[in-house]
Amino acid sequence: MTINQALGGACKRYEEDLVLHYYGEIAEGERVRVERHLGECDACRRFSADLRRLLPQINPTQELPNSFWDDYYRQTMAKLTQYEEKKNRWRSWFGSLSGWMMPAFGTVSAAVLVVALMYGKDNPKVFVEPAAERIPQEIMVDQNQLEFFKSMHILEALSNLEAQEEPKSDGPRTDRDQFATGYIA
Amino acid sequence: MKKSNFLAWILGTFLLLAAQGTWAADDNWRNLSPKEKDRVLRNYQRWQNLPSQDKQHLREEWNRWQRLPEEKRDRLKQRYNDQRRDRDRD
Repeated sequence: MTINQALGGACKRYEEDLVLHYYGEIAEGERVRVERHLGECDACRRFSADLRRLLPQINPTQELPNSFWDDYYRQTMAKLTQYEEKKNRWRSWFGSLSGWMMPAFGTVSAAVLVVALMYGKDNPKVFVEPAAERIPQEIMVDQNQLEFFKSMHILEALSNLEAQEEPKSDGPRTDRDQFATGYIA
Repeated sequence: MKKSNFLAWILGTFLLLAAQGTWAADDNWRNLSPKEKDRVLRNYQRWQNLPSQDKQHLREEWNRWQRLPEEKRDRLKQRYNDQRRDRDRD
């Protein structure tokens, strides 16, 4: 059985007022008018009785313990305090900047950042000799790659150098050693 | 909303790290002496002409070099420089 089937028969122009009456959300003048009508109209009385019977089943009131509301209140207040603190922090930082000053501040900050990045650590050469040194990208992929090419000549002789550190061995021992012998001497 | 913020952070961090690596290499390059720069470029040119098995071998040697104790690396570098100097003198 649906709610519409259960409820029925009220005067159309009183239906809405009867629902508001049930919830106690009707103005005083209207309440008197509705109650006077209820005294006269059987159909609306039945409708009102149905409302009192059915509505509590549809939306049962869940009583929550006081501890829940205490926690809820505390959490809400804590969040509000945090929000206020955060807002005030930003306000205190940028409080003196108003109107056109804010975008101007942003532009200057961006410009300073760009200049700082381009100059790097005490290195104004970037401006003086832009792209004068055409370095292959393969070398500049990362620091590791640069170090690799910086040490490559030693790597080629590495096995040989190590062999010289260990005088026990007689000449090249592996393919790696033979690879190395071609480079150093 | 949280997910998109998180992804934005990840992407931003990745870009920053990638940029930092390049900047560090760039910075290191500028800090090299002209002689060292010349050495790097000559090594690079030689590297380009190496057969692939030699490249592979050098990569392995590089990995091994990085794992060596710093003291040993310094010693080997010193030995290499001494031998180069001796050879140049002869």
